[in-house]
Amino acid sequence: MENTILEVKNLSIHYEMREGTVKALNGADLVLKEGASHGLVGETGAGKTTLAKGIMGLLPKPYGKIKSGEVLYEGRDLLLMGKQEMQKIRGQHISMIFQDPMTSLNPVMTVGDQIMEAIRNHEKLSRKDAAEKTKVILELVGIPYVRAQEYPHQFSGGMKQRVVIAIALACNPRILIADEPTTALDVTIQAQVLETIRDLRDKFHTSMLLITHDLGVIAQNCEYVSVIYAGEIVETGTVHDIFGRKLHPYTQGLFSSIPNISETVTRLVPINGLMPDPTALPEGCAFCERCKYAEARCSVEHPPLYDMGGEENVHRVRCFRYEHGGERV
Amino acid sequence: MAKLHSKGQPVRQRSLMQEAWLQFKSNRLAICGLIVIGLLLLISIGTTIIDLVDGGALYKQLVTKQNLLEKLDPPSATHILGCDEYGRDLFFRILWGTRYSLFAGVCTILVAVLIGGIFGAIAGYYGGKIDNVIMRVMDMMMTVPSLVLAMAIVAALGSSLVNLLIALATSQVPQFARIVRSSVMAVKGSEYVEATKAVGASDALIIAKYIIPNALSPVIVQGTLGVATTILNVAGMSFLGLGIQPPAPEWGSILSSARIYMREAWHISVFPGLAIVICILSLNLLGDGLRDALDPKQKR
Amino acid sequence: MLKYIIKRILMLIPVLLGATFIVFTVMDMTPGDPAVAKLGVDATVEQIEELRESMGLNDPFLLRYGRFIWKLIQGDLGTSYKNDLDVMEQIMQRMPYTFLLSFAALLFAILVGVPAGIISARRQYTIFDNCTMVLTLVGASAPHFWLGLMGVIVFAVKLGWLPAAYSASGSLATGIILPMLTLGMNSTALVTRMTRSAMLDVMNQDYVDTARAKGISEKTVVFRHMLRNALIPIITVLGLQFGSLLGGAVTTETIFAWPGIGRYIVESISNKDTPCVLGAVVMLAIIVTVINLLVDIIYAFVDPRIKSQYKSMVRRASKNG
Repeated sequence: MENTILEVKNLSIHYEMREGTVKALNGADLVLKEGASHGLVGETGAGKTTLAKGIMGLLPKPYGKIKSGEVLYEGRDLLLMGKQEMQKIRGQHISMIFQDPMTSLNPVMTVGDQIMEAIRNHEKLSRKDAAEKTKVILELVGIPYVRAQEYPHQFSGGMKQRVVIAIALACNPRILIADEPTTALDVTIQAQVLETIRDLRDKFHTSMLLITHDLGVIAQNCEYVSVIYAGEIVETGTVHDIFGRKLHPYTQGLFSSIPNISETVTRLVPINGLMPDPTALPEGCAFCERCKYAEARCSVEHPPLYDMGGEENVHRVRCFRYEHGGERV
Repeated sequence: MAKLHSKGQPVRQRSLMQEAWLQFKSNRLAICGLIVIGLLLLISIGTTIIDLVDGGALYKQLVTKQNLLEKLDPPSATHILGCDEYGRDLFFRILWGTRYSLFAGVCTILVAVLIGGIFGAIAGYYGGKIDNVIMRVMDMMMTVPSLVLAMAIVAALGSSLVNLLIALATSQVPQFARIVRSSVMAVKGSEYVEATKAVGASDALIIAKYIIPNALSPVIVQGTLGVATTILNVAGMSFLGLGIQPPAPEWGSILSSARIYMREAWHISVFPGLAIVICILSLNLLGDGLRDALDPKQKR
Repeated sequence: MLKYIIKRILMLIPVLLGATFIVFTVMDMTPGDPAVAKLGVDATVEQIEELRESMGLNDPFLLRYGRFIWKLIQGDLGTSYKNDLDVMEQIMQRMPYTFLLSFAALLFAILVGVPAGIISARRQYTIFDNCTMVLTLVGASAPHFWLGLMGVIVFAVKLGWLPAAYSASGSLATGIILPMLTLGMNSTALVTRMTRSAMLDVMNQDYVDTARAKGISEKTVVFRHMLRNALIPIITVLGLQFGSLLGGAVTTETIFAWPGIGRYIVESISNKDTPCVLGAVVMLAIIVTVINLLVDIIYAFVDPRIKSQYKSMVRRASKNG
């Protein structure tokens, strides 16, 4: 359980467009343990999807540029891999589920063919054997095999997302990156889809990076959490660390802006202001402008991550307030 | 309360037009197209005014007067584009030919917009059976290629400028009927028209105030591109000898007589064609620019 | 699927009737008396009246139209005023040439336009893309009869590589090159532009990322996932192109003395040979309609959503019935 399977080190990704450079990811670090589920939480535009696509090597061309960093999978840097090597990694070792099931399936291919394509790409199987495997995986995600002949438009949103999950897990990958897999779905369907993912992960011992902005989803599905803000990780730790200690002011803000049933609160407290413009990031702490604890130095000096110990000794936070409480990383 | 501009116009409406203009202005190719078309229009109007003022004397002097000594002369300092088979200066012939193409294109499209617009508006506004009948007839007209339909009409009515324009306008009508119909239907179903009706506005008021402005931008865009198609068709028909007849210096008809002298005098074939290309290219650029500016949904 | 095709063929009938009706009405406005045209100006009034009666020219308009359609179904388009030849036979002799030319031009447009569009989209804003876009802009704006003349001047007159006109004794393979390029240039430009913009649309779709995330090769992503989806708007453009291609065939055939139906129309018009013009235009309208039907059927094969739309339409209809 304690082995690291994927490690992102100091990853910076910029989108260089005619109108200016969007600094989507600025030195993000992330450690994914084998068999564990790691939540990545943050608001829209914080760089969650960019991080996921960066790991997969699927940044939009020609704008997406990797500026610095490493993505180590079993000790090998994915960013240095050649095209063909990376194609072997994708689908077989690392898979990804995308946000919107409505648009993530090819409308002119049958569902069965789309799953089979993933299988036959990585495993030398005859059509018949691949069809058999497709049947197994479809039934695992709760879709009867007769529907494999149908096209995506004949499926509901929840069913489509099951198909996407089936495609992602068809080759038993070791890591699954799920980018807001339930955001586009109805609440009741959300729970079912998450349960499907959970069951399959238990079965295949897949590690997961779950991207969401829903803290509830994290609490139910993850052992570790990282909070991302303006393209960098501001706090990371076990679920208990984060949910119990909430050290970073932004993490505190996130929690106080969602309702909590056990407490009687008359009104929710939103975080004031907006995330800084990613084309013109401030010199100091990115959260400084919105932070009620901000001091003079926050606006000029960039805070490093401080090691705060915690449950498994992985709790870290990027804020000067913990300068003396923790050890600088 | 809507914020009012100092002249009393609602701010939003102004900014919509302004935004379209800003968008258009940033499109350099479209601006080039606009300038060239403006120049061609100036040339057409200028040559027409000159002809009216001096009773066609200059026209005879420069455009139709034959000078067989200079027959098929290549481009030179005195005749920058050379001379045609009767020794007429090609540059002036092309210059005077501009108005045929532009006027034919513009008039044809105006007629087609008017007729197509009326049919489309009736079809869209009343719907039901009337709509069905009108639109099916339009569909049927669209199955005959426009140049072929125009040829059939000219074959039946004889080749004259008016017949040619009737023929080309007829073949453009269905397009505009379709566009106007869909704009009318979109406006008709909208809640603000329902609200206007509820306070007792007349059909005429609704048409003038809501339907025409709404249909205007797609019609302008399609109209610009339609002018280009028509100019090509006019030139094509004249090239076949079914359109504007010599000695009128229409570009297609110059090309038609140039064919015989292809071996001796390449320049008569090249320059009128280039004039057509420049004209059509500018119209296409202008049309694309207008589409991007006025109709962001259709943007490619 | 078969049901869909049959239904589409049935829907063709009113369209065909309408198109022929329009053409027949237009041609009926031709001034001059066909009987006079046939007998010549020396004929007596009685002779003319007799022929008018036997040709059915004195019957009401709709009856004449009905008779025309009835004969058309039997493959009879009447005879030429000029030389009394059977119109249908003449058209059938020329049709293969027009088809050959149009399909060659269309094929050229596809074989050049689709790959050029794909490469352009994949390398957006590179030099290749910019050059292609400029070329297609000019290619879409140049009248094809002018391109034809330029082709003749360069390749036939100056270089002498290709024949300037069709000749029955010459080789068809070299004879068709210039006419094909002439007729196909506008379509090639349009197909290139359409392919490029359709590919650009498709490239940013989520399912392309899904496909890449499977780890399949980029080639498979482009052809199996992008192109198949981009094909739908491309087919639309190709279908629309075929109509204007046949229109353009008229001028192209005239330039190159190509013995097709377009040149036949032009000759018949200058001969004031109404039955020939009417017959040829009607046949062209029928061909365009049939091609449109084929495009619709190809659509249903490429895009599964259309098939199921139709299925649910039938289901609803059978419930109501």
